[in-house]
Amino acid sequence: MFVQVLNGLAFGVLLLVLSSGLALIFGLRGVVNFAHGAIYMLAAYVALSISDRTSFWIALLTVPILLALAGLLIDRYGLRFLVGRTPLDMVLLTFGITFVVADVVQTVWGTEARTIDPPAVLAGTTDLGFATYPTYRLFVIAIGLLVCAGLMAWLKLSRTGLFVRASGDDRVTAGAMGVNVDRVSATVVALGFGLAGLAGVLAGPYLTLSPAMGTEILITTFIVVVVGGLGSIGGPMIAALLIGLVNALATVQAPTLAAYVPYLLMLVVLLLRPQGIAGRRTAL
Amino acid sequence: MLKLDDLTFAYGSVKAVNQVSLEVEKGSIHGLIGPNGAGKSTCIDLISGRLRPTAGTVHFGGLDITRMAGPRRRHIGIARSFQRISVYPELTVADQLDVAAHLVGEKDVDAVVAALSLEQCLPHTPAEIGYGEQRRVDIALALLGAPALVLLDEPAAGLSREESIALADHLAALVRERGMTVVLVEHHLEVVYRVCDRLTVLAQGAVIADGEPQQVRRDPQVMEAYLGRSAA
Amino acid sequence: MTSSTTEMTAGDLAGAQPADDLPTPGPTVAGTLRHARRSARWQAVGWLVLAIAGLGAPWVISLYQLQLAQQAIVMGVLALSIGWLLRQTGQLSFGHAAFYGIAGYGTAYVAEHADLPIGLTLLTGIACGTLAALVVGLITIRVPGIAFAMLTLAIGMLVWVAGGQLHSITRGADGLNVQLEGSLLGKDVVMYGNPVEAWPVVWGVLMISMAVLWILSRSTWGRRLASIRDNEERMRFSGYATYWPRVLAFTVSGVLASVAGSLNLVTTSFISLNALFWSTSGLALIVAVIGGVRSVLGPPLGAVLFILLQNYLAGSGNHYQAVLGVVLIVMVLVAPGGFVEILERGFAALTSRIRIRRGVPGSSTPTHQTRGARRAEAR
Repeated sequence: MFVQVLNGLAFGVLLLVLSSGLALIFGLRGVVNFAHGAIYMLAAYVALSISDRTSFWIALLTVPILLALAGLLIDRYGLRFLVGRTPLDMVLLTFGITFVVADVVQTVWGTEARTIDPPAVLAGTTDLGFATYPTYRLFVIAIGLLVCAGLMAWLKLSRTGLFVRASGDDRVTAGAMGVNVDRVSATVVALGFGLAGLAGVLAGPYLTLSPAMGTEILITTFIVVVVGGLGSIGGPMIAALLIGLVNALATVQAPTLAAYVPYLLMLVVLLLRPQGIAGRRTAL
Repeated sequence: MLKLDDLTFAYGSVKAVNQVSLEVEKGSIHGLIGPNGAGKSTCIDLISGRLRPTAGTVHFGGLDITRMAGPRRRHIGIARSFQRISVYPELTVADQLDVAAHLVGEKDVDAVVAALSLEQCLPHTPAEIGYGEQRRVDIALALLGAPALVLLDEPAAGLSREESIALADHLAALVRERGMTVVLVEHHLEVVYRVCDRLTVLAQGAVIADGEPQQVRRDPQVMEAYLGRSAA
Repeated sequence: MTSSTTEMTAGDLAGAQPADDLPTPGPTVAGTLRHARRSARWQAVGWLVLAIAGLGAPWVISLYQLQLAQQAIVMGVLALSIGWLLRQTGQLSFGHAAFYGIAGYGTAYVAEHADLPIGLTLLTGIACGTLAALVVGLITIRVPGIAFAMLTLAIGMLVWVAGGQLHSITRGADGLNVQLEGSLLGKDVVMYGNPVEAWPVVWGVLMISMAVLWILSRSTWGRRLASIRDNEERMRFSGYATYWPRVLAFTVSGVLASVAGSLNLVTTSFISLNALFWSTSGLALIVAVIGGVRSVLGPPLGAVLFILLQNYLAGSGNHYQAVLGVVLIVMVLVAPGGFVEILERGFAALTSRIRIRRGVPGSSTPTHQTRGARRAEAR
């Protein structure tokens, strides 16, 4: 039972890192980033190549940075042109990115399932007293929680974080108050992509790498963000852990129903409080 | 014609409209004035069915319409314009007037078009015409089908003094001729004194004065709450 | 406000009365609308030409190409249903694969378990998909914007999960080979496995779908839907209850997705769980956007482009996904109106050039006519 809870927590933390990136980008650009899963997948594969040639630790450091740079480029040469168009155009743009990334991954790394070996330090299991548990998963939980705590602190305390919250609330007013909305947006998109990258690297030694991994987790991440409330950062964090746990427990307790659970959850939340996701800014 | 009794609307704990009672006489132009945040637009929203009141009732022609759905109110003769211009961005003016006219059974759209001098705008979409013209399209949408009661929410917002007065005079002549009743929310006091038969002054959601324009104008309470603040 | 307001005088007011002596001078609403609809006749003619010319395709193109065209049409009809919904109501559905798949599986199920004539079997299948669309429409249609897209995605995925668990009916990812029997439109339905035999039906379905949607878009109801899309609240305050018309629009779009599902089954005799997966909707959506949702010609055109692209790239390592993605990105950034918009721009450039060289009509006239018909169709 404790092992199930820990499994749920590990998966929840992964979702947490992914969904905070998604929520950030949505809050600021009003974009539901359909490419988020693809970015995550790309990160995992790039990490595979880097850690094969050098070490996992270098991958953990460089991959998120590389993807953050990719995010900057996409914001600069894509999303910025679409400000003022319908949100659907942005959805379609990120949808296009998904296709390109999927093709790149299949071409470079092939379609068979792969795994990354965790670094030697984290390879074994740890005795927690009540149970033994894979060390690497504990590492995922720790890193994920640390990163999210850092993110929260950054949003609450730093000047840029304040701007992020300000321009997320109201683009026009924030712009008028002298916030450089374009720069804040670029920061946030880069950060969101970087977080997706981090999630990808973390997932590498823990889940299996396959060309379908992006789509699978994308939908779960959507569910997390929807349940937690799009546009908020704290909500999805709680929802991520919750859904991770529910997922892990349901898989064991009621495997037939488990597959339905996330979608039903999303359905119910969207029907009961669509404003939780739609907010003020997305209504067409 | 229109009667509000103790109408109250609360956003959480803030009462945007607090026990407002007033009566609008048939054929009159009834001004609703007050400083920003006095609850004027909320009143319009409550009468038109955009919002549901927390308490109180709205009667129209003797009929209790407090809980009636918005679309039905249009059919029994309550129409409105919007403070933030509300038109159809992708349709041409001709298209949107035609669609709306069919809905309310207006036979002579061209009369309304002519009355608001919109002829030249007909083939264009709102983005292609001027701000003042967009306002008049919004008003035209409200005037179609000769509704008994028209709620105009700051029809002159964003217009210059001359434009406001011209529009107000013109609207006044039009509604009197067609026998419509008007509730007018307006900031330009000059416009209000010029065309209104009766005024209700709101401050912080409550009625502080009600009566003939000349009478209200001299009311010390109004001068303090309304003019004092707007001058500051 | 321009000078027109200051010129408003009592004279204007006289005009405001229902004038029975003289027609109101100047442009009228009806006149402006008539003027704007001038192109309708050309569009109808263009459609007719296209519909008749298309019937001749089996004599012009090879069997293989015909097979591709048939695939493109099935996809085109699905794209049409999603694109029309997007255009007419502004709502983006990721759940249409459910209706497409339910219609397909419904048809297959009835064909296997009930002894109905083939026509009724197909109708039952389409009815299943339509009913699903109606139910989904009833519960989702009020949800605005992106929430709607995600909601339909969630529902689509629920159906997919359910399909996976009903393995005895769906046969999962391995798929189901369906033997349809009986006589449809004067031919044994087995014959429709041959693209040449199936072509008139397939082509006819596409042409009729396009015509129906074109007419619906221009009907009073279609214009009301467009008004709701533009400003739902204003429409309510113009006295129109906006719920049922939108549910109906969603259902109409669902009918079309179901037709595409049944058409797929008739022409391929095969259906798998993949039909229900969200990427089926996603791909059809992309195709619709690339073609252009503003006209009924766009989505099928996008489907044709897609199939050609996929086929052309099949030899070179199958990078159609990347190319498709890039095309989509470029389209969204540069030509949001899709391929149809590019055609229109090209046509406009062409006519202005022709106008410059007005002295030499000669050979350019026929091009002008065909392009004109095509463009008219595109509107």
